[in-house]
Amino acid sequence: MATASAIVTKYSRDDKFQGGILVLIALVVAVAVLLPLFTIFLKSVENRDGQFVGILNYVEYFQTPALVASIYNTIIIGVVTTVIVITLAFIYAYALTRSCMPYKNLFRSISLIPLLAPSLLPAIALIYMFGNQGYMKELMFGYEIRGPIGIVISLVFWIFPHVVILLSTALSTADGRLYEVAKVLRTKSIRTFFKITLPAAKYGVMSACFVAFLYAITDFGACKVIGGWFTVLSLDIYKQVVGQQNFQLGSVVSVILLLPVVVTFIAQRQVQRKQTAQITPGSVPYQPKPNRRFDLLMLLYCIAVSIILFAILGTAAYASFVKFWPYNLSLSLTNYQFNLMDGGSWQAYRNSVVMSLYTAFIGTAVIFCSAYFIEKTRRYRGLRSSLNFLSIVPLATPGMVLGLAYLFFFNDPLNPLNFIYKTMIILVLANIVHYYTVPHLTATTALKQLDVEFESVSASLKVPFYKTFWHVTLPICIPALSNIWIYLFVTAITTVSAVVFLYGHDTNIAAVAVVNMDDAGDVAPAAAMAMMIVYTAMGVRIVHWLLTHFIEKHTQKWRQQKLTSD
Amino acid sequence: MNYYLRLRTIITSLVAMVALIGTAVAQDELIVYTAIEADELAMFEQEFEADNPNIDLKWGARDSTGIITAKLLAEKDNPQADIVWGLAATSLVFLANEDYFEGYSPKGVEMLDPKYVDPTMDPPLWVGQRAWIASICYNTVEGEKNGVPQPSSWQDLTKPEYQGHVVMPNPNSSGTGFLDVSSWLQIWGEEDGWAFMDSLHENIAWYTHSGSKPCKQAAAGEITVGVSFAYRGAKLKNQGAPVEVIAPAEGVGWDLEAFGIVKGAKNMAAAQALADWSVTKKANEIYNREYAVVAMPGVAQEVENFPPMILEKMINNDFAWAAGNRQRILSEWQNRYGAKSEPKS
Amino acid sequence: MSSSDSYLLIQNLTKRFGEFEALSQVSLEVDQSELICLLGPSGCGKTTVLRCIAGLETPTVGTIVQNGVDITSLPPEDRDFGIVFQSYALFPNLTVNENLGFGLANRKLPKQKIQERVQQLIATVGLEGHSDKYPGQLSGGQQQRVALARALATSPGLLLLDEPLSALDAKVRQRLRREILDLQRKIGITTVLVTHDQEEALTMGDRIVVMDHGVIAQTGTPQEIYSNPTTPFVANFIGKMNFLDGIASGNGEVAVNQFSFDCAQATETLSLGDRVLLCIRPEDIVIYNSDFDNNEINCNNAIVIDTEFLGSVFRVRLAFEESSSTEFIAELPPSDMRSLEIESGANVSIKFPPERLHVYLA
Repeated sequence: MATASAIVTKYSRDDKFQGGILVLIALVVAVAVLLPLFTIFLKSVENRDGQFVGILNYVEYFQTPALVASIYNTIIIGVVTTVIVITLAFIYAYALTRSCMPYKNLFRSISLIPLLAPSLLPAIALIYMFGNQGYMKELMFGYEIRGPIGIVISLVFWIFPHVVILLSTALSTADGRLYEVAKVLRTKSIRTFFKITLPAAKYGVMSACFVAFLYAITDFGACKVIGGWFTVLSLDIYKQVVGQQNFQLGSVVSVILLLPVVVTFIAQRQVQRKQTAQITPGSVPYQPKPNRRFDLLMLLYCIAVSIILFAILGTAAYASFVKFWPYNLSLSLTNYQFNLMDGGSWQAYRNSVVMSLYTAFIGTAVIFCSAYFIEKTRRYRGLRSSLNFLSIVPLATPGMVLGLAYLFFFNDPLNPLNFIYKTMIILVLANIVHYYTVPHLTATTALKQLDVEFESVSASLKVPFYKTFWHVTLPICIPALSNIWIYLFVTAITTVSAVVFLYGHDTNIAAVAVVNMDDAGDVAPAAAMAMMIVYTAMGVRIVHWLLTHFIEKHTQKWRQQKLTSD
Repeated sequence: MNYYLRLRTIITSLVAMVALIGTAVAQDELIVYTAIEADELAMFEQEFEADNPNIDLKWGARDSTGIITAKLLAEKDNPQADIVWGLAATSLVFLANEDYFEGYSPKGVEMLDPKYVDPTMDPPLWVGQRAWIASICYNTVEGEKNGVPQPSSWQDLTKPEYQGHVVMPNPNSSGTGFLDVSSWLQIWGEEDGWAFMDSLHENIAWYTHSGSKPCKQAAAGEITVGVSFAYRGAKLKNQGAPVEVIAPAEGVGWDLEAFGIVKGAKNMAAAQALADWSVTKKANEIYNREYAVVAMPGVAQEVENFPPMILEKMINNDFAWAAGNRQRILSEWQNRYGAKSEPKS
Repeated sequence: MSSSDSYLLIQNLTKRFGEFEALSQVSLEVDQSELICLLGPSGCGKTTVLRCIAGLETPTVGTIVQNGVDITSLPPEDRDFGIVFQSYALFPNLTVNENLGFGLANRKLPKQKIQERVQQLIATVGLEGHSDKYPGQLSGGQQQRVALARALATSPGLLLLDEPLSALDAKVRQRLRREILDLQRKIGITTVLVTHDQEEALTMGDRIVVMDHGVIAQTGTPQEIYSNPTTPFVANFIGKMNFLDGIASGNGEVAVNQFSFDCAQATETLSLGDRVLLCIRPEDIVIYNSDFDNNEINCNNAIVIDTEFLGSVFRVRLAFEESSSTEFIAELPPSDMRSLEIESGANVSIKFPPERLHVYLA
């Protein structure tokens, strides 16, 4: 007979196991994300001896004009970079999606090249191009490349591919039917652009703006190399922490940097939600029609942009081989003798490769599995949705802030995990956490595309969930796993911001070595090391592409649909 | 059940893996913090380990003087280093005042020139290894192109034609930068010293993070005049860079590279072994490969392209004064000129 | 029915999602080997009942007993059922063979035995020659059969079918209805089928449970439900029904406009002046020539507004008099249409046979 108290389903073996895993994930999130970030806030209201001092550090900060100026500088850099990169990338993406110019795939690949380089690389290249001994120094008309101009150009180069991807997506989801109607109504093409194209891409463009702004205000590498005396917030964190060992002020700056980041991030999420809501099932993809003059114009534009991208990359490559710029331009491998350089070594390069491989393999496994448990577990709804929300947090955490948080948290002698500080473990952990969100979303999207009832069917067949995971879920998601892997590898090998506080004597890594060699004045070896990163990222990418092709051909046979009728 | 069995195997192997990593990290080794140039690190490590095959020397941290000093200070409550080796004596005196070091007389310390050994304590808290001396690097090609004449004194650098053509290291991060500032204050006294730096600041293009970078930038033509140190200038000139290394007329600042054993070092025996090795004739001969002045008398050989008469121009450096006033000088400097500095300073 | 006979016994099942009550007080008994259809519009709670039986939802209140065991709080893994979802949820990267063997492989059966069982299943659902194909290479109907076979693979005591045919086109659907039914009869497995398609329910169900807004509106055999719908909702949802506003005028009579109808055989007890709905199915209305004797019981004049040809039947829209707002629909075979010479504007006589009338309180 009906009882008054609500019924609770007994926990099956699977339920208990999954619950255990989810609790484990929650614990890891707490240790790897929440507690470290919390220590930043804590440090910012403490003095050197660890006593609570309220907002005293903040007062000190705002009474130091040199530091406050960085807030303004950061915002200016962010705004200017965003405007320029959005304009350049919009036209590029427009050419890729809305013209009938030839070699579209080639130009799409070219635009992605900067992804393979650390943001330090364009900065170094710009010094060789426009510095006092730059071969194109005249183009600066007496202005100094070290400072805001150099920072902005470097950031534009480095952010360009991210924005091109976002804008191409926004522009390619246009509803072709609207253009048919416009054509039937004999609407002028300019009018069509402003009345149909722009409104349709509006949220995509806004979202790209926010992303560009986020990248620009949190970047460390470019500002570090080419900033000169110009300071921004992420540099201030570095200066306070590494230079002055003033951890309290470092955390104050971190908290201040977090403010615009979080605001931008929330705005971006809002806009992105509207963007996805805009795509209706009835939409017909837009097919551009050939227009000789327009297509030629777009082709020329893409060629011009590609030349600039290659010029920057090529300069760094060339400079890395030059014996003694600018007095002895003969080519040699001297600059690749990292063991003789101040701050760099071949071990740093090897460490980078090892770290990136660990990050890619462990990260792919961990991120995919946790996305699976968050997405596909039947029970624990509350816990799962909180974890899902928390998985977005890393995207809103600048690398510098995360690195500093780890320094505080894991360097504390009272922390039982103290032993991982300065080891490969903490570098890999920091990278996985720092770049968690994008792979998590990729994994979640892939998992959402699976039939929601796979798990129910398995339960009815009394097959434990992990067998279904192993035999069904995992094999279907191989393409997503492969994407996650390469994303993690490339970001890990190019990143400098999070790990710059965490490397130790035998865990120095290539990107940090670039910073340190540049610091010591060994700019050419720094360029050489940056190029080593590019060669490696490019090589791994090509091997990955070939391998993916091969694997998909052999494991994804079932995707070839051959419908027979009833 | 098969299922639990498998789970248990996974967990066991995970635990084993973590334990393995843990022991790898905890391996016994000698942790050395240093500010010497990276291109010498490998050589010292090799030579020392050849003589002490049981010890695994690890460079725990290698950075500019100011950074290593700040790092050591920050780790005061939980020191990571066993020995600080090849750091400016000014910094060692400063840290010694913080009770950082354990007194130790290395075997054979009596062979060294006594003015290079801690005079205040017996056994000494720190022992000097070799001296490095401030100098100006001047790029002759760029000088001609930019109409910047070759300077012969510090005061020359404040002339209007040098505006935007001079680079010097930030004393907050660089030991060379600090010995420059400290020497100017010792040569001219506080008031005139700061007045000199005020006018010098007008001509500075940027302050660098490391002490060798101004000379490297001058050698590469990125700048015309770099305030750096003699060894780096001589080395670059030997490599064929169009630079002149100049010891200014007013006198040049200098500092010692020295070592001190950290109190409570985890590997005290190995730290003492390194201390003993560091005062040997062999070590001093190695010091001399790159530096002109070493602690053991009679070892030094002449270094090619070293500025002439530079030893006579070395000021009478007061380490106690420099160490005692270090913090005050640095924060005063930061307040006056900090905004023009390269990051990390 | 006594509860000891029934294989599946559901009592007072209530499910709340926050404030919203998805199911309230649902009670149901299913006999061994019976095929019962849960029928209702979307959102009526029929799928929730199914999911509660499967253990995929936990009821807020109530008990579910299967084969004498209280399974109310058991997780799905510990229940005994096979299920076919609307989407089939076939594992796309596994062949038909592997899909069917998926549940068997876990039972520690020898490979040989598994293969035998799989071959048997393939033969049962008539998929010989497709065993090494992937689901993506099969037609919708074939996929449906694989899903069914997979659900039956482990020989469960209860088969749950959640809208199993809705993704198929009409012809295939009809054929598969028959096949599923035959299979169910052959195996004798107790089956609960959820559908929103009344035709499917009528043709397949031993009994039908009509649900509306989380409650059971009526339970009965297809004939019972069709001929004696107990609520206007059931009347409307299953088959077609004319609804005429009327007022009880005593003596078991109902007045519609100025016409009076004898409804003595309808179940509802009426008191004078009650507002009621007078209902009759279109095919139950009898049409005569206008010269027919109108004095016969429940006969009236009517006028044809228009007619619609639907193939096997004609649909005739009628009114008691010109420009009346009270319209109703009759259906009759083409032969009658021809003999009665019915066309737009024609005057006819109609009869509402008293035994075919349903009355509900409005």
